[in-house]
Amino acid sequence: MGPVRELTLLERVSRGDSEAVTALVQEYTPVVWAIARRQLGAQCAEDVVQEVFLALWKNAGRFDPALSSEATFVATVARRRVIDQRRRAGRGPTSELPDEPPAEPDPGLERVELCEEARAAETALADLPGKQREVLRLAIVDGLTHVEIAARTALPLGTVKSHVRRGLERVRSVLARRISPAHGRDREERP
Amino acid sequence: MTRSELHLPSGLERALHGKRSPSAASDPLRPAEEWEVVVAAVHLALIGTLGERPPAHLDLKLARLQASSITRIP
Repeated sequence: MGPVRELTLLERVSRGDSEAVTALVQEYTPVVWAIARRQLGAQCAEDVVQEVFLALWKNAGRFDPALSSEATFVATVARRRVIDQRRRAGRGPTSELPDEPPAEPDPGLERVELCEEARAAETALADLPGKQREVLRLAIVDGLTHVEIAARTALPLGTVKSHVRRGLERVRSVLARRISPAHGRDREERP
Repeated sequence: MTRSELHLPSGLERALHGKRSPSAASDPLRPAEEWEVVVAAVHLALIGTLGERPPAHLDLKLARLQASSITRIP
């Protein structure tokens, strides 16, 4: 029998731990907010943040730590909600959004340790040329289409697409090397 | 640049822009696909370790939502 691992917040929520519900909000609101606000604007982002947490609370038992870390799961759920919201609003790209400048780093926020996948992604991104990182930021954080990125950066459309593809393939290969396929399953055991 | 590089793999396209089927899009907690994990990890890495501080009134809204939902949380 391997070492007993600590339950994730979502696993605790699924077992009815009310303290974990509060901790989940404290832990992930800054991340969910950052994902939503950048692509939807502040007003719409508030609704989406609430939708995300309601969905997480009610379906916490569906989180599978074998597939991804909790932080990556929460970010995935937030990204899906943001994409759905943009579709509901009949808005694909972000071109019609009010101009939302990037927020200044807030030293008052507690630093959250990056999850394993994000650390691997950070490592892979550090090896990419600056222009390629910028294209990925515009595509993923700002949600711009390839056409919009080409216009914004003055890069040919084909170059934008290859930057996105090659950059993410690079991250995927680093993730595959560093993350066990059965994420955590082979070295941790549920109590 | 090869011709194939001008087209993103379908899984990557979905991870960036969502599923085309509205019914699939209605379940935000479905298991993550491989490219979704990659894109979410990059998103987290680009946001950094801090995220952004939400407005104070959102904290209050979440607290109210939590209070009204707590009895229904499994």
